[in-house]
Amino acid sequence: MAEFRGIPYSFMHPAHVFIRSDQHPPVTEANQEMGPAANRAAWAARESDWTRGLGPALNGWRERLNLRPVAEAQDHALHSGQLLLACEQMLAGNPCFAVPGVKVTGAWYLDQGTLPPEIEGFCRMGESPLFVGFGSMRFRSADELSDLMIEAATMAEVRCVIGAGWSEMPVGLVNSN
Amino acid sequence: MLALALDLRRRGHSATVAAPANFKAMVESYGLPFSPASASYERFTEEMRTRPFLEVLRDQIDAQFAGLLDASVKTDVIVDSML
Repeated sequence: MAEFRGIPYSFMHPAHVFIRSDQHPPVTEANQEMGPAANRAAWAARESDWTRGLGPALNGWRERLNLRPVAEAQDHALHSGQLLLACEQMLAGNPCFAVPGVKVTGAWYLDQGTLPPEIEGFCRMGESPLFVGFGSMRFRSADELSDLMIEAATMAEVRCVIGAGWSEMPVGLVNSN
Repeated sequence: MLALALDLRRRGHSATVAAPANFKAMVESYGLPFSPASASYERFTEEMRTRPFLEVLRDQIDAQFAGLLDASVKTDVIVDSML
């Protein structure tokens, strides 16, 4: 749309795994440890899927707006314009991307005022907790995710505040320690 | 995106949040102008549980283009995200 209007365009990625890189596969294969060549092949395969699945609808609209068709739908959708990585550096590390000019901005926080008293109380009760947020992510089993998070926090010996978001995880205090 | 829009407003710019229709109340609760850019994002994520992701995404393209065509009139810059 920015191209149609003739104005600048930025695309914000909330995590580095969405940006093409030889260091990681596309997010659909994110749980697999693969080498650079396999990662590159996986990105190419997903590009092919996106172009086949979305290309006709995307280019149909572009034609209506008198814009040239795009050859690669995934690359167009995820890697156009000034790319911003709105993620904490300590979570992103120092990834090397296959697309140029990615600007790491740090996470964008919305000031929502004070915390609920029970969260505030938990934070004050011991060492600073780690926050894990699930935002708009949905999962097949919220109970399994909940068990996994508790297990992970216990293994890592960290106090943890979990932002359940839309995950439908059961909410409550598991163990104040 | 709300954080960005609020900060832009604080710096004297005007920012409209174009988002799925179910975010209208949330956006307007911050006093920001809202423009619908597609149908419910909640339904989108729900559908992704049972249908292939790209198929669900393809069904959004018409609504997104139509919505953004309206939202981008008299706009100087577009900041987009998959969220």
